[in-house]
Amino acid sequence: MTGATPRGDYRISLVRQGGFAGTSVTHEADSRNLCDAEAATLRFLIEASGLTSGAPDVRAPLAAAGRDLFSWEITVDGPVETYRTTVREDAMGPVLSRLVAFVRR
Amino acid sequence: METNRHRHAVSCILPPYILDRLATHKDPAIRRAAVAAIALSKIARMRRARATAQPVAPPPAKPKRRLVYDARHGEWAALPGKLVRSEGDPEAADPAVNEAYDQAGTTYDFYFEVFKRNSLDNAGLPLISSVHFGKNYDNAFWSGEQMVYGDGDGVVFVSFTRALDVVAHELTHGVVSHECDLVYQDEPGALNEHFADVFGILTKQWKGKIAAEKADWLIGADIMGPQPEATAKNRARGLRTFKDEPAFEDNPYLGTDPQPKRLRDKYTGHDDNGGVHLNSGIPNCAFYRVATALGGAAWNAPGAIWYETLKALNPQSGFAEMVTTTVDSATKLFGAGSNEARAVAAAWKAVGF
Repeated sequence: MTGATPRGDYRISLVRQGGFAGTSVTHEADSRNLCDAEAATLRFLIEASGLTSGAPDVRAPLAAAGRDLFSWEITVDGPVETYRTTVREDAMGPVLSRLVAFVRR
Repeated sequence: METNRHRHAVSCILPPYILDRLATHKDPAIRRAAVAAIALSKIARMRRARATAQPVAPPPAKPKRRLVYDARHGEWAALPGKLVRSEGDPEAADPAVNEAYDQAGTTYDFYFEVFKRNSLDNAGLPLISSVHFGKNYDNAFWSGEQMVYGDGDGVVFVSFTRALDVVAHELTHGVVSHECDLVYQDEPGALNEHFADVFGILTKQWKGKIAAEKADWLIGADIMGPQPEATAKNRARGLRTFKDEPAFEDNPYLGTDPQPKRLRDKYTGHDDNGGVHLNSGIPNCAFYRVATALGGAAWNAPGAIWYETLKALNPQSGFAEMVTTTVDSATKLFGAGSNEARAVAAAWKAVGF
């Protein structure tokens, strides 16, 4: 839990790349446009996922020799800095997976 | 840790028939370990065979072995899932299961009958599929050990098991990994995708006995969903096309097909492993030109040239090596100055080489 203050606002962009189709799909969320409960969830998941502390919730890929897997380019605009990382779907930890599911929803 | 120990122990000790049995075990951890071990044992066998540098004997006529699992909408931890159909079993009630089983069988038959290849490793590797991966998952992939299929979102995509070219594409990634094992980045990665598309479309054409000049040359035509917001004009009829045209334009869901068809338009960014699904459009277009220039069954001469090339490349091969190797393969198979060799050279020239 670093980076933003509890009231800090975040904007997050997820770009899904690759897959069999090879097309890009973008999902975005902005805490300023969410209700209080959802904004709090977004803040919690962003900070708990380690994206803002430089230690994103990733693991060794479960399908290291995989082909046609999705990867996610994640960009977080925080109150102070912008954080960016790219992670393959099979390397996402549970918190990062929850964050992606939350934003996609 | 527990799973890793399982995998290690299973892959080192157990004979294949025991692994096959364990692949149906009620404990999901044991099933996963067994499936992984089946794949690893085949790879190890292949590497040992290569290391001994013995002349390669023709593969024995061995029956195909298919195992289809249901991931029951789980994701990574759920793989491979519950075994729902094995080789020789009657049809299941679930269409996705039967599609995965049948398409894998057709792909096996294509490789065996056209190229005398016995499965992905040319040594009878079981074809393992998991269906119903995730929820509304818009994808199919080769995990390095098995095929995995999503159901699609029902809007842009339907179940990925429906399309023979998609299934053959994923299985061909397995063939590539057992041959030149092109790295999945930049030009080698684009060639990896290219070979998967080529043998995917050839499997579909072979199954339907469709000549090059009559084929639609679309990849993924059978997984496209209803796209209710699309019009007759901008509806995506497929995901990619080998032809020198976009597969879709101004589609409300997918935009405009971004694949280049000329070397000068090659994508040079970092997205998608350096554009592996984009730049495959360039060699795809060259293959289409070869196939239509020669006419008839594209799985014959063009397929043979590309199959020979697949076996001759190395993990780092890029486009330039692909060009020279296909010309060399055509010359080796059909002779210098043959129609086939000239068609290959002309096709590469047309796309900018």
